[in-house]
Amino acid sequence: MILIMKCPNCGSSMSFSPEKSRLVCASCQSEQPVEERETAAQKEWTDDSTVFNCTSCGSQLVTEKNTSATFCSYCGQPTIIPARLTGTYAPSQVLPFKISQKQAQEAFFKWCRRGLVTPKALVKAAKVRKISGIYVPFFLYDCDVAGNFEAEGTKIHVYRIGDTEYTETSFFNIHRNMDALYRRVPADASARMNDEQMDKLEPFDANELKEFSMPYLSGFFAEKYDLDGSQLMQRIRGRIDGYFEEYARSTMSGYASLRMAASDIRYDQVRTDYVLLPVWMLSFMHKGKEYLFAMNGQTGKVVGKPPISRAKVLLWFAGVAGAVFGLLKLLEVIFR
Amino acid sequence: MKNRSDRLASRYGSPLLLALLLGICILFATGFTAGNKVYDEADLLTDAQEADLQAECIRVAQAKSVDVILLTVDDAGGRSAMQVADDFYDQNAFGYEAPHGTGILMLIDMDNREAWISTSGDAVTYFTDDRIQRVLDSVFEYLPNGDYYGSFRAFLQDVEYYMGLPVQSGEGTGTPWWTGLLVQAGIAVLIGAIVAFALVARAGGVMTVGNRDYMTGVRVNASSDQFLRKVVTARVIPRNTGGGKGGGSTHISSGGFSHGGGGRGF
Repeated sequence: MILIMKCPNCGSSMSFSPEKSRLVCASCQSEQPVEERETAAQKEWTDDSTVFNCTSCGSQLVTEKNTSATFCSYCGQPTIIPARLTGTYAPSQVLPFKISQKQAQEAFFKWCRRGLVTPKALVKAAKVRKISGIYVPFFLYDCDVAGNFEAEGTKIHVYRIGDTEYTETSFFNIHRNMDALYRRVPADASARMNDEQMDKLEPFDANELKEFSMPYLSGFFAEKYDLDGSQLMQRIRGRIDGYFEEYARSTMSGYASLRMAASDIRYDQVRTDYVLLPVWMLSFMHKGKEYLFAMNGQTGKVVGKPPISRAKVLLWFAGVAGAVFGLLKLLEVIFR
Repeated sequence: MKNRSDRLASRYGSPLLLALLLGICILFATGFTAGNKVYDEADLLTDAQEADLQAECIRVAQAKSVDVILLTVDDAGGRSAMQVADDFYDQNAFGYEAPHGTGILMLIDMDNREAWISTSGDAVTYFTDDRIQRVLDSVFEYLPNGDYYGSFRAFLQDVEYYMGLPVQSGEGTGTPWWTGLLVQAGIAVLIGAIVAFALVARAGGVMTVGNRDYMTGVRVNASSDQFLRKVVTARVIPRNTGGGKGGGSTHISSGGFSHGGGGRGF
């Protein structure tokens, strides 16, 4: 079974508008708040087929097994597959898109123009080849951690008596035991998405998370998670361990050198929330190569490797090196 | 044009004239006298050579504000070349701006078979130990062949060159003049490379969240910084042996005056 957000006014399909934060009908422009469409989730959806028939044009709609919201490839009708959004795949919350497709493109061009090493041709005329809004499955982790840290630190005191310089190095054994709460740490649960790229999209403002409702997905792509909790926990542990240790280090101040001898971090409580977060995926061609970008659908932050202009990099190098050299010469003349 | 220069002359002419007069007064008052500068006690020079060197000494002295004395002896009286040179300078109270002032003396000591250069006053600053050795290098192109006149000429030429020439940092420490340039260029290239590299690396977007962004609470249960032990190392700071900006190394002569200088046997 598939779900279509039918317009109560004219019967054609409605899409979620990030600008208005409500459903808007493509043909008659009538609007409807998302909360008024609380229908689909209550029903029992158990259909796990991947092939459906489009309710609008009747053509066959073949989906990938993780797709939970898509478009008919023939008539473009926004289509939701409720079986992949209920039961164990029911997200608890969703962060609706705040940036529309138009805004995303504009923001992307602006970002291209700001690029200090982006090729001139791209700055002048960047053309997006493909742009799609995707609700990416994430797990938000709430972790209560306890850490025990042992470190060795040194303090150095240099003083002079007559013609002799004394260097006094004091060694310290530093111990910290602390508890910390980490909340709403995101980890993308889609194997298809690049982890590093998704991490760089952060921060997402978790305060704007809404209780999940299917109409938010109408007009966007969405996926269900395909990475399990244990795989994700490893990534999350890596991140939180790093954060906690870094924090512990920051409490050991006043040392000339610091070496963490042992850090033992225990995860007392871990709670996860399955949520959908908005990401714009953009791609464009430059000199026959495809470049793929991701944009935070809430904040507009762009992540992705743009083409690099060698000439511009060289210019920066030469400019900075020249300026530094000139400055050093100037200082030399002044302090001679 | 003429009008303008007249105006200039009337406005600045009299102070300028006054300053010039004052300068001349000071010059005479501080006593640079074009007296005898060549003392050929060992009779190594002909009269014509002496006259020529005398004129050259006065020329260099006036051009570089340094008294220049040439001395030859055949009996050191049991003293070292250094003592002979310093005593002679002190007893005659040489000096460009004042008695015992700025000056440089070259001695050819036939008794000790040594050439010695003695510096005083400002000359000490300009004639670093390294420069003295270089002057001696010039002098010794002639001296071992018995060409005393040539060696004095070489000395005068070098005095004229080095006196008033600022001592470059690194000069005389064995580092060539372009070392500083190379270091500066190295730093510049390094910083340029770091900036260029950072631009390329950051072009793909950077991580904006840090270690505190997801932390909503923290409690320190135990915290201790325990002192373990102390290690002290000592290093003797090498004394500044001169040769740098401070000028040549100095000593106090028997007359109680400070002199710089250096010599070499032949």
